[in-house]
Amino acid sequence: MVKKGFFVRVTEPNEVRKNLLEGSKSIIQNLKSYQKILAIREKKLSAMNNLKTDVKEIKLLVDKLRDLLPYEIMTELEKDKPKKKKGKKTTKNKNVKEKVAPKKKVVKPSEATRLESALSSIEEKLNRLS
Amino acid sequence: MVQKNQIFVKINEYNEILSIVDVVKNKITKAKETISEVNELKKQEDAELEAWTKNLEDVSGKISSMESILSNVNK
Repeated sequence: MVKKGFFVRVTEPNEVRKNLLEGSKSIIQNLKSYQKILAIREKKLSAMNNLKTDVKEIKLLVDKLRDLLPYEIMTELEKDKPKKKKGKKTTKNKNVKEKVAPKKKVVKPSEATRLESALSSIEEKLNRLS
Repeated sequence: MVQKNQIFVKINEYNEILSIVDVVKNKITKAKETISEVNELKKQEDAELEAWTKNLEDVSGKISSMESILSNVNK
């Protein structure tokens, strides 16, 4: 049985159809574009991984170079290293230490922290050289 | 006359150092090429995203146009 109801006349049906079809076309183009973006990102990730490997290898080689360089250079640099200042111990500090001591946890430094400290160590050495 | 603070390196280690420097240079060239590749891919990705934005703008315009036509049926 056909349902009865009111109908509304669309004044420009061709225009509506055209807009609808063109909209669908654009959406499909976007979906295609998404696939392209996924492929590009995959390539980029692979290139980034290659870069990471290369940089790690360069680091190892530079470390090896440092090992091969005469020991005297390294000892000279160590001699110039400023000694750490010993701070005055106050009762307040002692209290703080006592409070903190039981909560000691061995926190493994993250990769970023490790790299940061390595970088600052190298910068320190460079400053001493100049 | 020997200058002060001169450094001497064993000949075998010197050769090894030179070969390592050569390898490092090659690795750096390769890394630079990879960075260029990454930059190129980034540009491509940006272009795709830009096209995506443009397409969405087009769709939005068409939907507005359709809405306008459908809203004016009683006029």
